[in-house]
This record gives sequence, C-alpha cells and structure tokens, in this order.
Amino acid sequence: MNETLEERLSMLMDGEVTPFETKRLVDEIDCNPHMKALWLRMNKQRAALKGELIDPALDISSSVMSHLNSTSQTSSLINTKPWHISHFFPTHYLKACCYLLGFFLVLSSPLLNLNNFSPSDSFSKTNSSKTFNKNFPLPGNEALLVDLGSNFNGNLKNYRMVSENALEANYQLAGNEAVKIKVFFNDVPQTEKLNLLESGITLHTKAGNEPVVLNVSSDQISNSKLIKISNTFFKK
Amino acid sequence: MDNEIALIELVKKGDKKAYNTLVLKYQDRLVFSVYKFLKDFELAQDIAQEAFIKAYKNIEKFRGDSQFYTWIYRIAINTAKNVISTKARASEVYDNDTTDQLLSESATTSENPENILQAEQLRSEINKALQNLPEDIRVTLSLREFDGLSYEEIAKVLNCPIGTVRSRIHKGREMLDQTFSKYNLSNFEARKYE
Repeated sequence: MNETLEERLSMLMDGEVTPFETKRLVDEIDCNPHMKALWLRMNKQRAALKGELIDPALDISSSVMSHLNSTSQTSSLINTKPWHISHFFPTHYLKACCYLLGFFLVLSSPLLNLNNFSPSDSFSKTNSSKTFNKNFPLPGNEALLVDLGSNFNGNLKNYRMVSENALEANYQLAGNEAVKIKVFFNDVPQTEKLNLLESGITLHTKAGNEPVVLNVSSDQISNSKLIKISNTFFKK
Repeated sequence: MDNEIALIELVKKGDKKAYNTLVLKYQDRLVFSVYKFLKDFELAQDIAQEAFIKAYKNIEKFRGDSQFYTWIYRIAINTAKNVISTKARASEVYDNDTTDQLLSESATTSENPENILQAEQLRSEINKALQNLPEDIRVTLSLREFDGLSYEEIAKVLNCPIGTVRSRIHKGREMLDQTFSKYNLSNFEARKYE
C-alpha cells in the first residue's frame, strides 16, 4: 500500500489527482513522517532539476505553520464539521423541526403503515444501548447519520456497529439507489486499508474535534457519482 | 492544476494541513526567487516566510486567475521592496536614489555560504543522474519536468498508456531520490513535523 501512496504523491506533484484524492494525500503528508519527508524531497528534487534549489536543508514550513497556529483565531474560514446541520440553522429552529417531524410521524404511522418499514434482524435503529455492548460507542448520533445523509439527499434506512470503533449506515437515494457509508471513529484498521482503497471512496474528516474516516460505496452507482457525494461533505 | 485549486479550496476552509503541503511544495522556489532579487540568503528566508504567512491570511483574495506561485511571488517581492524601503527610511536619507543604492548594494553582495555551494553541486549530480536514467524513463520525466506536459499529453507524444507515463515518472523520481539521499538529507525525517 505504501508504494501506491508514493506513486500517488508523485501524481500530486503533477496535479494528476482528483480533488478528493488531494485531501487524502494532504492528510497522509500531515500524519505520516515518511510521506512528509518524501514530499519534501520530491519537491527539492524538482527544484534542483530546474536550478531553483539554494539550500538542500532548507525547510521554513515549521516556522510558517508555527506562526499561523499561534496567531490563529476563531475564523469564519474554519468549518471542521462541514456536514453538521447546526452550522446552518439555529438550534431553536432545529428543535422546532424535530418536534414537528416527530409529531407528524406519530400521527401518520398508522396511515403510512410505517411498522412494516422495520429494520432487518441484523440492524437496529432503536434501543441500541440495549443490544450493543456498552463498551461500544453508542450510536446516539442517529441524528448525525440522518444529517450526513441530508448532504446528498440520502434517506437513512438502517445502521449498525460493525466493530468497537466503526459503524455502517445504509442510505437510499431518490432513484432507489443504495449507498453505504462506513464511519471509522479511529484510524482505519490495517486490514481494512487495502479494501477501502479499492472499494468506494474514502475520505478523512472530523466529527467535532475528533478525526473520522468515512468510506462511501455503492453497488449501484458510479464512482463519479460517489465522488460527488463525497464532495458534499466538504462543500459547506 | 486541478489539485492546486483543490488545495487552495481546502486552505480557504481553514485546512492548515493543505497549506503546509503548499509551503513544502513552493518554499525552495520562493526562497530562490527572493534570493535572486536580494542576494541575501538569510533575508530571503525571512521574506519568504513572511510571504507565506501573509498569503495564508489573505487567501480569500486569491481568485485563481493566476497560479498560486505567481501570486505568492508577487507578495514576496513586494515584501522585499518594503524591507528595502524601510532600510532607506531608517537611514534618514531622503534621497530618491537611496532605495536604488541599497538594492544595488544587496545585488552585488556575493554571499556564497557553504549550503549554496552544496546546492549547486547537488543540482549538477541530479542532472547527471537524470542523463543516466533509462531512456524511456528519462524522456518521460523530462517531458514532465522541463516541458510541463500533462500525463495525457505525454502519453499522446510517446504513444503509450497514461498508466505507463505515471509509473515511469514515479520510477524516475525514485531513482533520482537515490542521488538526492546520498547528500545525507535524512535530517528531513528527523525534523519535528508539527
């Protein structure tokens, strides 16, 4: 996998990666010292080839970033939770909407026969705290998953915890197409990394201040549409 | 240049990691350009650093109608001119020729610290190593680095798949990296990346 990443870094040098992949490589450069050193060397190599290298050991990036970090303010630029709905609507408005939605669902459930839309046996939307080991992070973030789906007009069908630090949510789009999103609360497990690179779109983002990794996949829609869905998480 | 636009968009959203990626990409070129202007290596580093900081704080003003490097180069040169002007004012000589004189003096200062000589030697070695690469790799890499062709354009010129172009360029850079690493630049990995 490292060789593939290094080749992608070479492509990043030449502007030959997608915007989505750019984000992934940026995260890799930031958290992987080997990749960061390689990125630095590759750019110095280019500078040397073009006669623009004045000091092989030069690196002012630490000073620049240290200055920016020490003088950073709460800025309207910063939005590390691009897909959190509370950024766009006041809390009291959201509460009112939730009450109205709940009231509507309660009244309409007999009419819409919503009892038939029950999750499959292996999935559960309710009573999560009773069915899962209390050491698992409780999916009390069902609203978060619904909110996540609102970015791409996906309706949350069901979700489940697949491991201690990961959950899997299934969404349905308007054309009955299905999208699966895996949410990893910690770093992607080593055994999953190869799969995730080849299957669906993986992106790194944050939930609050905590890093999360999302994998978006579907058997029914194209990669280009998956990329569009992934991009919605960064647009806002 | 698509991923540069993507990087800038990330920076505008407050992603400092993306900006760090840009700094690492352009720092050598920017310091070199400012050094050519001022012929003072230490000052060139300071000015480049200040330019990067200014650019980040004003990133919203970057409209993308030019390349990012062009924009930051202008910031750096303006900063350098301001430094020169400040020196002229500090000397309390209100002479129209003072700024020109200071510029002239700095341009004639011939500072050749050891690291600059090392850079010249490294450039020579890297170019020798490039000439010693297998022909297909050398040609592909040269079309990319010196002619600025995209992968697709290179594939058309060489009549080969884009995947072949990609792997040749990557392989070429790997081979040149061996030369680069011989200059004991492992201190890059030892630096604290914050």
